Amino acid sequence: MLRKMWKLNTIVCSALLALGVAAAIPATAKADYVTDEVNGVSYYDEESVSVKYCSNYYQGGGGYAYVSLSNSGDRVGNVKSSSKNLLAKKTYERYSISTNKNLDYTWDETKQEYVENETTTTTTTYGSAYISFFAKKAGSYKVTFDVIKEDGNVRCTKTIKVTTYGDSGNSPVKSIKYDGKDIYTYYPFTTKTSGKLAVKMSKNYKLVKIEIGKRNKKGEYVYKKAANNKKISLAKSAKYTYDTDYSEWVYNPLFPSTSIRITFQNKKTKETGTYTTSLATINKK
Amino acid sequence: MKIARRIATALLMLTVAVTALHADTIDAEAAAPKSHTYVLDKKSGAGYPTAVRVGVGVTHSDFEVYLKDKGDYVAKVTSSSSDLIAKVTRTYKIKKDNGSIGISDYFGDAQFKGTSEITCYAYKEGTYTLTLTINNAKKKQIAKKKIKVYAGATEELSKMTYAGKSVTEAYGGLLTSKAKGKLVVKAGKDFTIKKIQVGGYKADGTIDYKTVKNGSTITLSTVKAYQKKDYSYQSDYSSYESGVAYDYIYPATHIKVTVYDKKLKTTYDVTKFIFKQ
Repeated sequence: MLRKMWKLNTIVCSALLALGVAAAIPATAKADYVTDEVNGVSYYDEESVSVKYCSNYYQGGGGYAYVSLSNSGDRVGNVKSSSKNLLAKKTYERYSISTNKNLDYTWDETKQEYVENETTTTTTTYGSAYISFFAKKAGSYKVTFDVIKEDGNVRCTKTIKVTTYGDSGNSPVKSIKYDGKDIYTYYPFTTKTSGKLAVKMSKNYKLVKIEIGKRNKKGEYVYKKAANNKKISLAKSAKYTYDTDYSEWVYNPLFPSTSIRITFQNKKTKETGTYTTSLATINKK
Repeated sequence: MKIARRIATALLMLTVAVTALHADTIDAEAAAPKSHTYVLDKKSGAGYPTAVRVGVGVTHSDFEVYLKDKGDYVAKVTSSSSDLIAKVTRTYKIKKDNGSIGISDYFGDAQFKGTSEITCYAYKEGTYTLTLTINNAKKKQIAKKKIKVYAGATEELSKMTYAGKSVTEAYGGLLTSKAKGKLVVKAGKDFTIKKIQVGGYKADGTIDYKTVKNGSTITLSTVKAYQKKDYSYQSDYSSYESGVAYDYIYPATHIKVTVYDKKLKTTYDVTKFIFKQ
């Protein structure tokens, strides 16, 4: 593996379902970034983390959710997990401390003169935060956090749905097969550009939908519904461009990937969630 | 003639001696071990690595070629064998006339207007050569460079264990409840271990490293929380400080191993993490 010294922000988000295989390469699959303009809070409302995975990058957790606050004086707090099997903690918080010295003069009757008083006021404000997760066991969890105002009162409470992967025992998705074989056998890429996709769900979960995503010319994944147990065709190339006034990035990957997004529902709680993985093909041109 | 030559030699030796004494002020960088193989091509001004290492069957094996002038591009990449394929997979071009990028770690002050990312894929272990053709905006060839590719085992460390548990196999970091344990490190093929350092975070976010002997017993850090200042300002009447406050779920210990790559002839650090439960 080449050691990348030029640290570009390319965190590869290809979550692999490791069925019966020890360590899947963990990543957090991000769902929609939700913005509540009224309360001035933006956050990811769904996260998936690998079971028992620890990372220095995620401050001792297996993944983290970013929360951004727009009201000055607000702070993220009271992070709670629905289960002891998922640890959730605020592990990163932006802060700023400003100190101002004020001089004012008061009349001293006894001394019959103005006396100088120096008062120092210190204000600490908090901004965005990251909530890290550590999954002790596989499952679907809910994590809540409060947006606390400067006066100590709670402005609002938000919920993040956290699902896990990497432990076939309790993952919502039991198996994903492509062309008759476990999707993991096609790592890191396949030369079979079309094949039958078969998704099997775990006991307590129902398959809601399957979507296949391919990149458009702007690099965005465009998803189309796909029927289970039917043939899908993988992206054979993925040429895309990011163009701004300042610069232009043109991509032509050697291993273009096709995203497979599975939406599931917990039969008991009726909660829905998504699991995203991908398959890569090879393009030498 | 002979006397002149003797004087010249004596002067040269004196210069060398004086230079050696002042190594820290003149060119300390030349004395420090190389951590990469990047060089600057004088003719085209392009920056590229003279040698790279790739894993067999690894899809994310890539490196960058830095291009000096607007419109310069990598026109062709050819390989000495079909067992190692390569392609230009991404280009970055700065459109603004006053914009440029520089990588001081590799190239000092040199500035570039764009980059080309080359991705390789090795089907088999071996030593290969890639030939890169660089053209300018007028499609004229300005450089033809060879890059040696060593395809094979890329792990700097074939093994690292703490209290008998594998750290290298624990992706992300090893989670353990053992506060003290023996640290054993084994170098990968074509690598040698130069130094092993162990450290935990200090309250100011810096890491307190201590050099340890391979096979010695180490104690894990228990520091979970620290603050890192980004920015601070001070005047007579006010002060301002901003930064990030960290508070980990599990405290982290950094194991920093300095390795030497015998093929690329580079020296650099590899860090692994151990978390205390």
